[in-house]
Amino acid sequence: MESIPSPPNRLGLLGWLGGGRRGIEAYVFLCQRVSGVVLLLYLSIHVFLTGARLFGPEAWDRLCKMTHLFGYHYFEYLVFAAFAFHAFNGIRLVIIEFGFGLGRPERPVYPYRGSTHKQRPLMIAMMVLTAVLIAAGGFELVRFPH
Amino acid sequence: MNTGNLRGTRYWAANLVAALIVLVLLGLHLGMFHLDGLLRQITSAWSRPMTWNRVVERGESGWFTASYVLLLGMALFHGLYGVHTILTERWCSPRASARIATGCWLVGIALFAVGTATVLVFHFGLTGE
Repeated sequence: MESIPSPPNRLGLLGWLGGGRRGIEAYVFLCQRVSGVVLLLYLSIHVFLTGARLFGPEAWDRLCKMTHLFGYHYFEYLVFAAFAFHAFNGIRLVIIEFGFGLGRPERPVYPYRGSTHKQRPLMIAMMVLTAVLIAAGGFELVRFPH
Repeated sequence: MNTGNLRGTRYWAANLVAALIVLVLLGLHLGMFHLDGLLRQITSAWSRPMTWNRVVERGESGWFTASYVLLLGMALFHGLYGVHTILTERWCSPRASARIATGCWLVGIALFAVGTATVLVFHFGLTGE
């Protein structure tokens, strides 16, 4: 039997932004990827910056002072926010991956209610927890600056 | 038997395990370093974590040293697995996928070597200070 060639990947990375009918989950997916890339880039920088401790207390203190000069702690807060989002959304993805939170299978009766709608309360709950953690980090930044 | 798919499944399972380990360790790490002011309101025993004395204390601790190495390894695996997934959506031929995987492994091993060397050199006091 002749095999049918698969269609080319026309959308590519741009498909992230406009791959069809976009629900809120699609944008959460986009944010999950962007936050993941941001966290990986930060980790790469962090590995080299924390190496300053090998050069003794003066080098460490100099690094700490320098990071304050350039508002690095605000950037770190954004990284903290990216972690909060990536972590809670990741927990949601693992829960769904194992088949929880999707509801029982049922007959398709109009108006249709797909699994995306059934899992939305979980997504909202996770986003609320994300917002609480980001707010706690923001409070820390304002109230107890390093 | 399609061993290619099985290998993919094993990487996927490893990625999931790595994600859970990163969730716990990075959650503790960020909680200690970025919510320290709030933690001090709960327990006065928690002092400023970025001062040199605290850095030395953690560096000498076997638990912190082991957790840093584990966190770095797991975070790099999880992160670079994600980067590999993203890039192979764009360049999806087997040859391109293999090249991307090789690049991810090289970057991961290099960063892991730098980070682990820093932690171990500090832990064993080989800094020459």
